[in-house]
Amino acid sequence: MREILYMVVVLTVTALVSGLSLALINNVTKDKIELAMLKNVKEPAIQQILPGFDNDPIGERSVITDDSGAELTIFPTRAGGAFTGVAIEGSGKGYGGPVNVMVGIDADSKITGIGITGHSETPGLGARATEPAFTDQFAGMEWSGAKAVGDIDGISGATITSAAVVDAINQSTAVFAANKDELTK
Amino acid sequence: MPASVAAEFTKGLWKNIPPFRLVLGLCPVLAVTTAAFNGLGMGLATTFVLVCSNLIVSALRKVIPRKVRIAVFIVIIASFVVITEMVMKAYFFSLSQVLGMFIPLIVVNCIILGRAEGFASKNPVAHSFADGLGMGLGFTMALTFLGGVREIIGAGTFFKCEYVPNGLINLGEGFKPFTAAVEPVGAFIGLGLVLALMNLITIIQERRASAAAAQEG
Repeated sequence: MREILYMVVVLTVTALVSGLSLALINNVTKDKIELAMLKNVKEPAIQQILPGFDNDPIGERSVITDDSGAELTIFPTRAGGAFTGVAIEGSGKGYGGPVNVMVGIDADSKITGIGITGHSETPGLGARATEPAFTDQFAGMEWSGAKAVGDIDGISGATITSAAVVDAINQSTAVFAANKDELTK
Repeated sequence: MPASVAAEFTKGLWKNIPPFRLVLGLCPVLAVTTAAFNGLGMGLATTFVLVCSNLIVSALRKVIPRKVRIAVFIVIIASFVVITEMVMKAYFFSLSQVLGMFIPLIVVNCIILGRAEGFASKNPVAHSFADGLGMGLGFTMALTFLGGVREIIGAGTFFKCEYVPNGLINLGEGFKPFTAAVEPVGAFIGLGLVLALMNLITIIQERRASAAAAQEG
């Protein structure tokens, strides 16, 4: 009996100390990791879809909650103080998990481009959504209201992924349309 | 009579160098050695985990009950791996993207549990520290070496990374890289050649030793 108790105590204390130290380090690194993610993944995507800005979209980001309760991050871009566009990161449900899409929208509500910022789709099928052959078609599109996957050139063999990208764009454009006056200021 | 601390340290660098001599922990050896810098990063991350887990396991070796020792070791190792992963993501983001899944997978790297179970749980703290450091640095050397060879053959550069954009060696445009070397097949062939080379060196050394012994006799 004593032996069992002793084992339980040692295991509990080990797990407790481990958990505490991890929580501590997580507290220290959490913000830095988020910033590194933004700088290394999001900023290049914004630069690609909304080139020519001179402000710091990462620093000026804000979060808007849409009707379904999803939180979307908004990155405004300006050149010389004037509004050039806004990048909104929407998300759709793909085959292997959420597909995150950075959608660039200009003052005329036109899409300037999209960039896939995160996905876990099948390599060779759904993962081809990141290729310019797929993403380039969205640049310059008028996107009023919600579209369906049939309205675009999907990826063969990856309908679910294509639909996820469309859903993500729908989500972003809906948020833009609902908050247009405030966002284009 | 236990070996000296210095001997525990140096054995990991050549005599028992983990991937080439013990042939342990081959998964990261094959997967991340596409470039010297990746090998170095992976090796140092593993070294950190190995040294810390050896230290703690050795310090607690008289407290940990034998029946649950593996569970305790794994908790200790896993904690350090998660710490490594968080710190790497926070300060070396691009490297952590390249190494990806292989950082969390350090938990199951058999070198680490092997050293905890086979060495640190039976030896004093100083010896365990030296053992972990030596084994870790040996692992790092092995990964950097294999990564360097594959990078030179497969990409024509050596140590190219975001800190050294042109690499320490750059064979330039005229060099036609043999891209298979940085693909998975290159890992197997490269590791095989290095193992063969290590065996060749050992055989030559043994012959010399026995020849010298014969002369004396």
